[in-house]
Amino acid sequence: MTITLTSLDNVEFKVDKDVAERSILIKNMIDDIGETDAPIPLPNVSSAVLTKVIEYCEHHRHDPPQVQDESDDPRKRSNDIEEWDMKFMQVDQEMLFEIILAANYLDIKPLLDVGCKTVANIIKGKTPEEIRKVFNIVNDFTPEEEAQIKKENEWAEDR
Amino acid sequence: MIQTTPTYNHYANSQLPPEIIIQIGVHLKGSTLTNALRVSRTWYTCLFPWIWHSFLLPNQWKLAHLGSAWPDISQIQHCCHLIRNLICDDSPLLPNLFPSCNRLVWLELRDLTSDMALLIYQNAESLRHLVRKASVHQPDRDVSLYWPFFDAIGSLNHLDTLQLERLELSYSFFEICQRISNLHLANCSWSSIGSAPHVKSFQSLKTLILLKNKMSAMQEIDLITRCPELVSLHWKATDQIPGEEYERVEMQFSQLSKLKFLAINVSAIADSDIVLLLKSLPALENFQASSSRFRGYGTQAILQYRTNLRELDLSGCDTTIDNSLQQILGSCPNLEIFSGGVYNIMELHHGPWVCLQLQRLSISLVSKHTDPERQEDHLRMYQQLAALSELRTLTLGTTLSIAYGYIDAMDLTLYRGFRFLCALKKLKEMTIGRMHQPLESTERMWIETTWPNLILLEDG
Repeated sequence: MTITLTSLDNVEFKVDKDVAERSILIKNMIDDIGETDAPIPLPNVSSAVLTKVIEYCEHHRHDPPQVQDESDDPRKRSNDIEEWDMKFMQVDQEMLFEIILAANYLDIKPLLDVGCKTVANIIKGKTPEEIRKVFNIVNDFTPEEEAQIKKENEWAEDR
Repeated sequence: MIQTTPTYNHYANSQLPPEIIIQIGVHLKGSTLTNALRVSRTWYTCLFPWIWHSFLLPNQWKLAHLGSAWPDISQIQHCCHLIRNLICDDSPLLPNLFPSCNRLVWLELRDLTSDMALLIYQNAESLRHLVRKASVHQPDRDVSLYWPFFDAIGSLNHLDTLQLERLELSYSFFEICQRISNLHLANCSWSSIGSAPHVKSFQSLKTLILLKNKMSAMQEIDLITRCPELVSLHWKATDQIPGEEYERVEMQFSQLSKLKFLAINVSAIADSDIVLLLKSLPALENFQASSSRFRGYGTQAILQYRTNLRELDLSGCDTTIDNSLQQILGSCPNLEIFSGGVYNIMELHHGPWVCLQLQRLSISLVSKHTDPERQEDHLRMYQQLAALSELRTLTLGTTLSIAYGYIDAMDLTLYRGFRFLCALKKLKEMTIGRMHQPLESTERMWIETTWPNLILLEDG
């Protein structure tokens, strides 16, 4: 069975049901309204972003459902991204943010995770000023406040 | 403490919203995290809780030797409500966690002091994972001193996983076992469950790990077979199953209709015990018996009862003289992962393999032959391997010991048949162990052109 999705700019996408249902938002919609030919509107996602998101969902269509276990040993957490996902995420920063926002809105947890890991890897090893520059963020701390934050959290730097 | 208003008025266009910055925080640690804190007020508000999310409470020794690397006491008192994962030795700082540290999800501790019991009570509504590790020099203490600890565990309403090391378990312990999903006991002992009041079975236990407990095989079986929903069992027994109990044990094990995973990598269990386990567990799909006494009887049991296995690990078992490689790979069509021991390459003369779903294969082959039989052996071996078109990971010859009179039979030269492996289109990783001869440059180049993305590991 195929599902029709409509993007913000009114482009229609036909995708297999199991691909569309990688999105928990869409899955819940389909569960609620039952099987229908009517297109599902996604007013928060542009066609360019939706194309990428669908590409991701098609590649991962056979993945087993993710088991959410917050009690996992915290020390075993890793920032590794598998090869295909890494290549998939090689996009400009605006697109990266758009994919993350779409993954958040559509509730596609593994894609959101990969997006956040990608941002985390960009941040890694950078000074606050470098991070601001990369993400175009205005520093709204006074130098004294910034120094105080550094001092108070110094103990956490080596872990 | 920097005071920031938790309004997000700095969130402008093409910026990540706070809920995403919080999510990113999961993946930040150390100086990356402390640097990110100072980016802006919004980032500080979103990321500050992650500084405290996982916390190690230092013991006296660490405090004395690692000086300034710890937050001061007022900071701990002020922020300990943010801790979710805590590792906690008996620490002079422990009293500072009262009363605010009450949202722990994961707690690892060593010493069972009364303060520790208090900390457990304080987190009765949030704790899901409790680990008690034994310190190396722990003196034996009077068992009754542990009772408050077990009472405290009994108060945990949402506990999911309990992991205990080197303890004598009390009756009240078995009550908590009726509510949790995962239980992990190492070096523990307990008195007969049958005498514990109100305990008949553990309906919620899905995973059970029993490692070298100071119990007889029958006492452990009594615990195992009280878990009708068990899916996974890792059992390092210290004792054999008495022959006269086989019939009863078989009947009890056959009730475990959901058990899919069984690991028994230990030499205490006899080959005949392994047969009993394979025969009795109806849903078994994954059997791990590395470095065990799995022998010819075990192979026969697989052929007779469990040809539907999906994963089988017999690495480190002595298998040189039987025909078990050909028998297993020639009879188990659903196998996806197989780690074997050392086999005689002659076995491959006995017919085709049926395990065409195999994704990971790890074997070592030895031989008594010299050329020209040796050459024929190799062609046959590589032809067999080339039929495994689903193979992702291939490990050849990593064993360290080869029985007297045999030589390593792996020959990785193209004309010996190595070239047949180009049929393995899905191969991602190949490990080559102790070899008759090292890989030559011709073969190396051939590997690179055949699988441009292959991870090639060489061992020894």
